[in-house]
Amino acid sequence: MNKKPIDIEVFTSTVCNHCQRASRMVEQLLKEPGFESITWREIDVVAEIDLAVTFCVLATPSIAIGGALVFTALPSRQQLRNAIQHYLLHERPNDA
Amino acid sequence: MRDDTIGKVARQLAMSMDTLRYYEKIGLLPKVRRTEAGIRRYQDKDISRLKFIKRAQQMNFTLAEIGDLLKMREDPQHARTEVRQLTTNKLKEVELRLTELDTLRRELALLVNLCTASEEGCPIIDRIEKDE
Repeated sequence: MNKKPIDIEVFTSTVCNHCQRASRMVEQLLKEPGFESITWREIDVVAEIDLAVTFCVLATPSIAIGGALVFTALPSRQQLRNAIQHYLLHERPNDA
Repeated sequence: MRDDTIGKVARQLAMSMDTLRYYEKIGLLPKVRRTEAGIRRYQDKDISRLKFIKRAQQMNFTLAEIGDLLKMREDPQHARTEVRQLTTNKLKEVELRLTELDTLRRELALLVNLCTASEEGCPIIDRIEKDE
């Protein structure tokens, strides 16, 4: 059975001030209508540095949507909402 | 145009003077021009060739391989099949090394950025301790 890809990856570290806010923002936004099927996970860049490097993460928080790095700093709630909507409309694989 | 002494070239390329003389002796470097007093004077083409040798050595190529690559470098159109094949193989090795170096560069850049942002502790140290 194929594992479903994660839609949103939030790259965090223990040393950044905005990481918790970024994760919380993603978690809250995904409760909004239309976003319920979106999957996400938090990635500690020190613990999973190989993955972080694959995504070209250079700072935390960074947020990847659909496997591509979209934000390299904490976005506003509206910027994140727009990016997720764009991903849902144009980029998300149909079988996800 | 350059006309450098062996000492100056040795310093500039961080190679010993013995190494420079040895490369000339075994033919990696064509006979270097001498003054009337017999003192070696290195020209631009010599320096360029020495820099190539040094780069290739840093990639762990053998002196014999470097000799073949230099033949290719001098006359790529008429190089023997084996030399062309060697050059192709070495190109793949260099590309692989570049990929590995690029991954390392990105890993180090991330760790340095995290360290800079950190007020308590440094993730570089955390990672080294985890790996040990």
